[in-house]
Amino acid sequence: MTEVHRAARIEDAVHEVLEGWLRKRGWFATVVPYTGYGAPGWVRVMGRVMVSRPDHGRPRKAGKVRGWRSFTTVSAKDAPVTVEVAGRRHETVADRSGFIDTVVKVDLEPGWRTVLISSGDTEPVEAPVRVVDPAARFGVVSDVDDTVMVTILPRPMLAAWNTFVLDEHARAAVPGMAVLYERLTGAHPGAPVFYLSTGSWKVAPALTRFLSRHLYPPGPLLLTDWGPQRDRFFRSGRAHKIAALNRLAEEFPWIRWLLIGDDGQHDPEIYRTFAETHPDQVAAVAIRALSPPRPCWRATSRRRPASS
Amino acid sequence: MLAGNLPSPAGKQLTTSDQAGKRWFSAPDGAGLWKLLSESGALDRS
Repeated sequence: MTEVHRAARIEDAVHEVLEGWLRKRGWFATVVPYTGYGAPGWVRVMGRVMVSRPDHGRPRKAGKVRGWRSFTTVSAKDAPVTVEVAGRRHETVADRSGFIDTVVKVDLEPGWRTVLISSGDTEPVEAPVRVVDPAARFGVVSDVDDTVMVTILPRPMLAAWNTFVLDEHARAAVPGMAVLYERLTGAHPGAPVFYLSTGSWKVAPALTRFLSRHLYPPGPLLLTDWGPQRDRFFRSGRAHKIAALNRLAEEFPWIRWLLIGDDGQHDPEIYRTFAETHPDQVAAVAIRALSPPRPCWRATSRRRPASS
Repeated sequence: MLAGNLPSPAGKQLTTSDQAGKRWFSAPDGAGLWKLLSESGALDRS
């Protein structure tokens, strides 16, 4: 067994103290469900166990929800989890980040289904699960930042502003992409859509709301756990995307994927690698071309009209 | 790399190419990508 990275051990210790302190003050475990997926014979159920503040019956204020709030949540480490699928209960344990990721052997009809997730004595919450039709031969894997949602990752200060400061309702969709996805799924009924991003699982609820608000087709999110990992200081985004694509190829060998991304970071390189290793499972690659980055002073400066 | 280029209404390039044995499409927005994908027939076999 490999030794856990020192940064991860420190993070675990801090979380343990914080979680204990919050629980003494009446905070309790709550399950945040994520969209799962599967095929006849199995489903992958995902979610997160967090420690939440009791609201004492007070309604939450409606208003701005800035991006940084998603990152201030506290996970419940190693929490016991019960997943109920088709009337049968399956016990599992959340990981050190409170993340639930378990595959349950069960036969569900293709389409959208619901499973129940609970932790300890929490009320079960419903998690949607997309059961992919074995007759489907086409699917979409889409990047998120700068492919469906404007983030401007090539300019870190703007990306940080968009991610952490901007109200989630102010995030803009990339023009035409929702219609593109609607047309793709309309032309290929039953085609699953997966949103594969290096973004943190903590933003999954906000991202799901964004996709819904902009009429993107619903689909499972495949995100990452930010922060120290068991074997390294910070996760590798590239490794996460390649591992997720390889897993989809293994889980759905009969599907050919349209890979959609942008040229702002590593999507072309990652998709090229996947196409080379899985030539029969790639239908095509679609890349959104970002405008070349301009210096900040050019973006804000005004040009004088040429004197005649 | 094979490429066929079309100017988009915004004056930006819509490009197609062959890389890693697959058709690659590039455009600045969803409308451009749909135009390329639908006209190419690349997804018809799926």
